[in-house]
Amino acid sequence: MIPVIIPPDLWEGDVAGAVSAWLFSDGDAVRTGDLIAEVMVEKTSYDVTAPAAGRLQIRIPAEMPFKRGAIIAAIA
Amino acid sequence: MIPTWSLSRIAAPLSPLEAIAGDVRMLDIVARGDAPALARLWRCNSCLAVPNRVAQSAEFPAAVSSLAEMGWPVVIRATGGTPVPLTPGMLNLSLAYCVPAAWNWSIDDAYRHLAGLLQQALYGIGVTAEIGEIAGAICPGRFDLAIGGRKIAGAAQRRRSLPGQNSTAILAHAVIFVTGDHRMPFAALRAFEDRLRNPVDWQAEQMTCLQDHGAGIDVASMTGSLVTVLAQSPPPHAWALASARSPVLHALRQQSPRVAEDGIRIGRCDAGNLL
Repeated sequence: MIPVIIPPDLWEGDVAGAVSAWLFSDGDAVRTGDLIAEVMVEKTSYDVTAPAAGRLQIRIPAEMPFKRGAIIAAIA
Repeated sequence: MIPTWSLSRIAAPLSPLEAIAGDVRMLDIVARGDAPALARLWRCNSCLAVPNRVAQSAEFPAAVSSLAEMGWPVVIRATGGTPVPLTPGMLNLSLAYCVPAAWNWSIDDAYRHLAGLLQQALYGIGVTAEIGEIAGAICPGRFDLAIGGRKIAGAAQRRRSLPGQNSTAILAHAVIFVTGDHRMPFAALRAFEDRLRNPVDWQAEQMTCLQDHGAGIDVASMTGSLVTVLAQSPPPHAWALASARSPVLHALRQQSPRVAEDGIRIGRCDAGNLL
C-alpha cells in the first residue's frame, strides 16, 4: 500500500487544504504519474500525481478540509 | 551559462483563451525540462477568469451564458483562488520555473518571491506598496499588494510535483490593476457570483489602480519596470549556483535583460514561440 501524501512542507501555518476534484474514482486503476487529484489551498492549485501503479483508494473525499501532511489516498 | 528568465513581453491584449492557454503551456514547458525558467508579461481582452473548482458548480453553465449576454466571456484559469475580472488595463506577470524537491520551496516561498518582484517593480515607478491580505478585496490572499490599504495586485499559483525528476514545477501568476475604470468589471463579477448563488463578500472600494497613484503611470511604464526587475533577479533555480560562489551572484545582477517583443525567440529555448 503506497500512501498519497500532501507534503507537510507544501505550505506554512494551519490553513486547511481540500481536494477540489478527484480525477479518478475510488477503486480505479491508475498508473505511476497519472494526475489523480487537484488540491486547492491558499489560492494555489496543486496537481497530485499517483506515486505508484495500482488501485486508487480515496481516503479524503472532495471538499473535505485536511491539514498539510495528510494522507488523502492510497494505491493498493 | 548564467541562468536568467526567458521573458516574453506581449504588447497587444490576447484573447482570454489564448492568455490562459499560454500560462498552461509555460507550466508544461518547464515541467518537461524544455526550459528552466520562463516569464511572460501579458494582458487580455475583458473576461472573468475562474478556477476549475468554480466550473464544477451546477449553476456554472447558466452563469456563463448570462455573462456572455453581458459581453463578458468566462474562462477557466490554471491557478487557484476565486473568480476575478481581467481587462486590458490589468497587467499580468506569469512565471514558470522548477525547483528541486529538496529545497522545500513552499507555496508561501513562491508567493514571497513573486510579491517581492512586484514590490520592487512598483518602487521603480515611484510607488510604495505593502504586502498582506486586504479584507474585503476581490480574491484576497496573504501576499496581495496594496497601496494605502487598497489592493493593487493579487497572485495565485499552480504547482505540479515531478517525482521522476525530484523537482516541482511552479506557475506563479500576478495581476496588477494599472489603468481603467473598473466599475464594469466589478459589476460583471457581481452578476456572475449572483448567478452562482455565491455570497458576494468583497467591496469595490477595497481595490485601487496604479494610475491613481502617480502621474504618467501606465501599462508601458509598469511593464518596463518589471522587465528591469526580472533582468536583475535570477530565477530561483539559479540561486543554488549563486550561493555556492558569490562572484556568480554579482554576475547575475549585471546580466542584461533578454527580452522579446511579441513572443520572439529569446534565451536558450524557443519558449517565446510557444507562449
